[in-house]
Amino acid sequence: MRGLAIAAVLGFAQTAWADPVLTGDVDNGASLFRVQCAACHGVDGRGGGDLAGKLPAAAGNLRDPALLATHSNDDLKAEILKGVPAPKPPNSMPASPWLNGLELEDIITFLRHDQLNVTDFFPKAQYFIAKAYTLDDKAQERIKKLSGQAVGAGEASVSVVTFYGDGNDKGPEFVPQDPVQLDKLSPKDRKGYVVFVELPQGKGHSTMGIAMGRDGHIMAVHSEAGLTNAALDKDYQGFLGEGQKSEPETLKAVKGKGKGNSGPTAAEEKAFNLEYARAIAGVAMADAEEKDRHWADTN
Amino acid sequence: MRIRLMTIGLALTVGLSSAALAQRVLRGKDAPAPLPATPDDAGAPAPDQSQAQGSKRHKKGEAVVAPADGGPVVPPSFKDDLTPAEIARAAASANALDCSAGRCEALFRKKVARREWVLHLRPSQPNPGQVAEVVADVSELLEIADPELGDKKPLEGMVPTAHVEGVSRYRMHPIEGSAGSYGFHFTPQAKGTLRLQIEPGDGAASFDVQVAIGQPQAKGVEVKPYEPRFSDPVAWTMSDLGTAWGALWSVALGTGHGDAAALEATVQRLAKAGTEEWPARAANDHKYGELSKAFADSAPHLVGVKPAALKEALSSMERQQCERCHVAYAWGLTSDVSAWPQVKIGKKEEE
Repeated sequence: MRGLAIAAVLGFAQTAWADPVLTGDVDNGASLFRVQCAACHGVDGRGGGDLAGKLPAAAGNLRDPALLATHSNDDLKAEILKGVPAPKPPNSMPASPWLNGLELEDIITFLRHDQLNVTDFFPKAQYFIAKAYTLDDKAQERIKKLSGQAVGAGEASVSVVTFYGDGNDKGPEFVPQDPVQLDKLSPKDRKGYVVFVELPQGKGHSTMGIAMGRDGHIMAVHSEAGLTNAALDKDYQGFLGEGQKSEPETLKAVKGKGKGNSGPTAAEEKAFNLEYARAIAGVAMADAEEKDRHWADTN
Repeated sequence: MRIRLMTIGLALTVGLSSAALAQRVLRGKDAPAPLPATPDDAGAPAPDQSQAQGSKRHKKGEAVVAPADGGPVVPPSFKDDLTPAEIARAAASANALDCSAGRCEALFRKKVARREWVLHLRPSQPNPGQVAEVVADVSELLEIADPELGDKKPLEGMVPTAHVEGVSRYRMHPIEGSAGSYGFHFTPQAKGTLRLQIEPGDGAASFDVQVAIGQPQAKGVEVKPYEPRFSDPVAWTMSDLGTAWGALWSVALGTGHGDAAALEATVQRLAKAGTEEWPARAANDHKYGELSKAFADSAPHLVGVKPAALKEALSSMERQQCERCHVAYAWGLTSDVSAWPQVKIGKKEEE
């Protein structure tokens, strides 16, 4: 029933949740996560646990849709079970060898539960890649000029998901950052991008996916909170069709666009402009990297 | 042999020494059940099996006829091998079990076409809001016994799906180190009986049973202790504690209907065990003893707390006690938690 509701709300997900089969027990996963992981990653997995400030390196946001899309369940299970090594021991994530296979499945099901699914933004694409970019000083200056706001601490990294090709009925397939495999993805087959950001919504904040076309125009805006309350997504629909990456400018939401759209508040519009500017900066870095990969194709 | 020795050890531990159990030990860990759940579950072999060439049903005391090819003779075991007296003894043993610690499992056995299903439900009597583990052992019944496998061959490579009536559908995962076993967890939300149906995923007939939640399983369902997952006793205790903790949270969040009395018994037992069983990292460390005693003293106060206050109490204990102990003795991130919550992560490695 929940799956049907989600599919109906999103609209852009035609088949993914029509008849859901859970891979684990969400309740038990939440319970295990609370005692095994929350000290560093926070009770909801977004970071900010009690030990977060004391760790030599930040504990990752495990609810980041880009991270979840680029890690298989087997990847995540191996990391929880064996830990994540780092050059210096205190930076590493400790292993949890006492968890069994079913408990690991429960934890991962909890992490993926009620999450935006990156592949639903371009359900018919063939492939997708994802990479986090650190915005350099020039990029941060451009963002400030465009949005009128400085990039805050912890906002200098942007994960960009890029989609290629068409016609995969099973949904796009993840391609890892392997030079040989990346080389097969032609720029001319690029369909668009998705960047996940944190935006004010209702009385709090929510993770929001902004889908952009090849030229950077906004194709879809969907939030995690919107999965359970569609009304929360309506205000941001006024940005659909706006934006471009060649000559980006400050965006104005068009009120009344989209059913039930009363337009974002001034604070929401301001926040959206900053996040879109960050997204476009990340997209520019992804494009530059793609161009480098294929320089021989045109020379 | 190792499995048999472990089973014998377990039987001695829990005081089980019935003839039925001994017979099961001699046959192997998945020998037939002493009692079928229903008359339909009695496990009559498929017609083609009983009539197949080179195969003959063996009744107790009958001579085993060698196969035509002269291969080794392995008498197949069937549920109806057991005499009524053996069944009665096994039932008596099951009734004498103390399952209050939650370390018993209920076994549901059924033959569906040419397959034998053995479903393990752990704990044997799950309560609403308490996670239940379901593991199904699926075997193909062989017409001609295999010299190594016996009369059953574990079915590997399946992708079964379980339908839990009124809860959800679950993908079942292969159990590492146990060929032909698949499992999943679910958390029942209400007391009663629910239907559990498993689709094997390969087009074969499904398996289904009725499992009781918050009440004893139907008469005739086998209940027995299950083997510990861990060689380290404190890991076993911590696993149980995690289950009890999850049930407490389900009460706090209003998603479960945990039985307060059962939870109290579990928490008190686990808190006591926590003072007696020490993890390897805490060897000779008196500070671990102090922390575990503090937990033992405070855990019983959680019982009877109303849900709204319970949420805060659980969160507080997690921050003040669980994390403090785990940081030092589970994760090894530091060796000094005396000034908690002030702690220097990585001190241990730097020293």
